[in-house]
Amino acid sequence: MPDSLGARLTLALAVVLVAFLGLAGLAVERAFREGVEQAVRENLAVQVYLLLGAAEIDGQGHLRMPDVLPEPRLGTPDSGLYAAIRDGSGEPLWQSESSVGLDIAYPRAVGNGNRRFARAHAGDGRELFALRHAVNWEIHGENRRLVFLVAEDAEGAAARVATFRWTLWGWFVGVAVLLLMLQALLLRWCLRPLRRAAGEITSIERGERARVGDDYPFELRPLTASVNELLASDKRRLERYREALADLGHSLKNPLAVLRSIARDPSAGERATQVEEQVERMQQAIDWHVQRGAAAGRGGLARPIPVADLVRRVGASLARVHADRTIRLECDIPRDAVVRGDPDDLMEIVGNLLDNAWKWGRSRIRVTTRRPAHDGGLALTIEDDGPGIRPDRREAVLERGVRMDENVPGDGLGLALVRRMVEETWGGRLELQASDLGGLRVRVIFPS
Amino acid sequence: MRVLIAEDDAALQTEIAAALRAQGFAVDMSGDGEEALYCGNEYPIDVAILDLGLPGRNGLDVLRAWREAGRTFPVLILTARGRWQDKVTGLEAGADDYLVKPFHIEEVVARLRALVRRSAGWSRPVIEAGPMSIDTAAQTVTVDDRRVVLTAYEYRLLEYLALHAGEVVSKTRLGEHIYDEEIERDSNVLEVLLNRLRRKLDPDRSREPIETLRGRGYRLRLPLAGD
Repeated sequence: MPDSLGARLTLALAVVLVAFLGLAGLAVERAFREGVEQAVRENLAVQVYLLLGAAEIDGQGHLRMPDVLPEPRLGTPDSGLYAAIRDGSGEPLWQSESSVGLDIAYPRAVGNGNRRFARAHAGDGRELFALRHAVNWEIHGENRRLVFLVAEDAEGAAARVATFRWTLWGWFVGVAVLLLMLQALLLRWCLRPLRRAAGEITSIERGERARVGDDYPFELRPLTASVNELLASDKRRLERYREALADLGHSLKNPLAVLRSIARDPSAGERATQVEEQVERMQQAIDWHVQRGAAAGRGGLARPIPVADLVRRVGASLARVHADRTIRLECDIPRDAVVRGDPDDLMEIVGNLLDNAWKWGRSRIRVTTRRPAHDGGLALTIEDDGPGIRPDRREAVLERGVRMDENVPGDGLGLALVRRMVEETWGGRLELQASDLGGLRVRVIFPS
Repeated sequence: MRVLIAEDDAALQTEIAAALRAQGFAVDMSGDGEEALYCGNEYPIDVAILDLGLPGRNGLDVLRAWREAGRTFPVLILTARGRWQDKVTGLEAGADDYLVKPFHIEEVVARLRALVRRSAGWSRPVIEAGPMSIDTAAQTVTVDDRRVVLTAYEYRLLEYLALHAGEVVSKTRLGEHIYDEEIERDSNVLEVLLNRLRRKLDPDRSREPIETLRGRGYRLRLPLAGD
């Protein structure tokens, strides 16, 4: 079975079409042949009546036929029309001049029928249609049986049938081709909603749209409605997970904040440091897992997010926070640079990286994008003119919980979290390099 | 400095309030969005700490409503989620800084001081006014490199005047910003406080750094270069 609906329908319809046209053709051809034979038979009957009219019985009771018959073909040798008259016992009484030299096997009597139409053969193998017509002729009060035999070449009829057949099949083939073409067009038209649905689902996968359209033919609507329902419930579930995780994080954070400040209180005693350490660890665990759970991943809607806008928004926000510092943010990103994914996730990455750059940079931060030629992905580069990270420390800062400097506030998750999000959510890469500005260059590669 | 703490978690609220009071802030508290909105609109606060997850009316709404009403005091937002989306939205709505919970209370104090200073137009933590230097981070005052020991209220008074140096600050305004609601204000107390401060800063009465403008208020003179 072919695995294409179009091919199945085409095949099925082609089989039906061929069968239908074939049978119809056979029926029509048969009807035509019968019609032709009927015409031959009637013509032969006319000849019989003409012969009957021409035949005479003389005084001695002999059959006499005129020299010139009303039908000239009977007088012309080998004309295709032949006749003979025999008596009841089969003794030849007369034969037409046309049949001289031809040994025609006229049909024999079957039963007591007076008339019989049948195929016959000439001595030379030619095929003939023959009519046998027996009459009782009263001669001098005595009944004599005369058998009139007329035959005609089957060639003419066969030629007519053949011509007809050619014409017929010619037309049928033409019609079949036309119908198959028409059917292909119809198929295209009828299957168009299916193709459109497939296209829309593909673009949902790519994140270009949120749901399948509603204007499908009603046979497809249960399917498209289910797809939409599935997408919506998936989205709701993801939101619920995020909410639940965020709530969990939220509900743990206030007690942790209180614990932490209690531990800092001078009256808390010597074990306070231990408590604070544990609080710190709990805090990191919460951050790590909550952020991880909150990452939407590819399963969510992957809208194209304009990177330039997002970088400018985060940059403006950070500039507001660090209003007392004069950091220049150079943002050289083309308008059409986009990353597909969840905007919250991308903002998480850009926010963390820009925040680091602001923390460490002295006066300049540069953000650029590049589109690697080989695939449709995007490389986002954030550089600063801060102290940078020594090459032998770069791998370590990407590990969870390692801070670049214990004295600069931060939860130690920044780069590790960003790397994990880039890898898990986008299947991308994060690279740390030295920037020509003097500080760190973080390169995030989002594959297409 | 008068600070509004809008935080619904009672334990955290108490904790922050205690720390801020110890650091010389006048503290107003609210655990509900509607109430916080009212306090921000009606009280002469200098800075606010705003939890984004307030009941009644969420923090972002409150913040936007304040800004729409023309309230410009700096706002430090507290967020539990720590998502950048929340931070950026908050900052775009008019916040000036954010902190992710849980935080060190010292961090809150440091950020608040920086915000107040910045909003008064001072970019560095040390305010210089002629021979006088006020370190708002360490809360210490020196005159001619001589350390001047001040009480908490004396310091608050000086800091407020210094942050608004050159402006005439009325007695009422001064009272509102260094005392929170709970304290009964008495203008005589303020005058006594001011006289003590003047004596400490300028024992020989040669400079008169704090002017009295009768019927209008007080002004910290900001000597111009070469003065």
